[in-house]
Amino acid sequence: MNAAHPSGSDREEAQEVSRLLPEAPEWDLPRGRHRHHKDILMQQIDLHHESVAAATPPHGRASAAPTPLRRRLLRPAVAVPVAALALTGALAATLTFTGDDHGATPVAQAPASDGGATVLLNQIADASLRTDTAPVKDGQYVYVRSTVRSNEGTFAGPVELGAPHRREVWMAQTSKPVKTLGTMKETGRGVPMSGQLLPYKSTDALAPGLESPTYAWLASLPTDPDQLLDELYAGTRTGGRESEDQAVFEKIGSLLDETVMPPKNAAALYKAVARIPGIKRIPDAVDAAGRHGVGVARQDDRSASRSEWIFDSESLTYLGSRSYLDKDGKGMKLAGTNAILRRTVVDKSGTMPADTTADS
Amino acid sequence: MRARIRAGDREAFADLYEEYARAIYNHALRLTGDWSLAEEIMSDTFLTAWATRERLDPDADAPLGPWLYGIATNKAHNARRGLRRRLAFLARQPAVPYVDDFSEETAGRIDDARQLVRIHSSLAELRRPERDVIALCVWAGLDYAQAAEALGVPVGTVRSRLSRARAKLRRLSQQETPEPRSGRGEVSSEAAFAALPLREETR
Repeated sequence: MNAAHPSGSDREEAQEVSRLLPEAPEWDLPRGRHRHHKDILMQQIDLHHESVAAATPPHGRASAAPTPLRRRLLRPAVAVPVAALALTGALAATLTFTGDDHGATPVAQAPASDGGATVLLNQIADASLRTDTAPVKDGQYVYVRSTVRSNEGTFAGPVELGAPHRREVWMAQTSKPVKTLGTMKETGRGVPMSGQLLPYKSTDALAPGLESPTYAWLASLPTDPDQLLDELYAGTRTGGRESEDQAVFEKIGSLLDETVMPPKNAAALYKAVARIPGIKRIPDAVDAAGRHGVGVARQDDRSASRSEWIFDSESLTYLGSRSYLDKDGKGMKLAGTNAILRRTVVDKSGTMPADTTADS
Repeated sequence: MRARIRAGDREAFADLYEEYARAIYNHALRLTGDWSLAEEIMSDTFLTAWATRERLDPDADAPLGPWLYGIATNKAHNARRGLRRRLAFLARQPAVPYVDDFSEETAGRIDDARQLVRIHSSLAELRRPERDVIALCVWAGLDYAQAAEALGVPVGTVRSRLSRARAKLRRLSQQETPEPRSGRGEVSSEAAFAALPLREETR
């Protein structure tokens, strides 16, 4: 790998860095493991060649057969980034993120100790019942586009919020346990492989469930808030110092982002959240796209963290979230935020919704 | 070689695997500090290379390493970051006790584990982009242009990241006794600390 000829000073710098670090030995896998992984690769290749051969008329490969799955998956990857680039420009232009979280317009405070969170959540639940969601079928994809800012700081150091970037996911709707949950594409400065469609992988095969919330699974949840909350507490693992209440609050938050669910289940989720101790209403909260709304928050003193969900003040639809961390005891700092910009269903992974326009 | 890879030539991919599997495995190990994750990333990297072969630049006459390292680097990030976990990245994540799966292993394996923890945690004070360039330029032996190709950034960016990393490491090495890491109580050993970023996805 050292073959190319780096300029002397470059090499020197790399060498100096290497002296400041522990020596990195070379490890290797047992030969059997290598054989195994190589076999998997070769099987993929053989599978492809067989399907191409089967789909190609015997007299000519030139007119490349469009049918095989793998090729179909690849096509959009070539076509989409151009559109994505155009959109990123538009996004960057409109995204002036306001870093401060005050500027809070004084809104009449409800007297309750939760600042009116229970009332608000019940309103949100009612509003979600009035929405119209067409059922999502197996084989389709839930498409969600969002703006994301995440903590790019060091493991041990303070929170450093990265620049906003665009994230798109196509979550596969299937009832089987899968390792590839869908496809994702992240676009923005500093994002590795920016603008490329990549498989959305899990380390283990996941069946639909809390970690892989498909429409069908969400639709199967109890619509009685108490029963639902019991299930969520039972299914949520807590570790370390995070409280169980916070873990469940976070878990429900994760169900709101890159999913589509029936209105009655959304309503039940919001009513369930209203029963978690320690939730608060935030009169004015901002999502990653700078949209203001009302917030529902929970602060966890044990893990020195706070999460907020933001809802449109008028329609009460979910806009996005913010997460805060206190890493040094000097107060909560914004450590991550997102804004859901588009949520719909498409038939093919990697394709844009049919009615996509430059500003959606 | 490039043309054969782009065309999906079976033998070319077999050769590619033989030539790079070990290097990619080591790269993934240093970035993640996790044996099984690294194995998975390595395997996945080649499958992704196969699936995305047509995007390879046919004209360049450069080695294929940077392309594979780029894929693997990306996988190392995504392997441990779901959206939520990514938002609040680390820290909030309660440290799960370092899984003690060495009991059946040989002493050599334990030494390996210690060494891996040392390597991985030596990067703990650096930011992700700096960790990436170190893994590529210092440990994987890529030159700046190749690292730039792998990360999809200009060469100047690689250079400035590396010199920032050098300055930071130098500063750290001058602090005679490194400050105990600002763990939050439960992080009581380097091992637990190194395990921290790896547990994100598993909850």
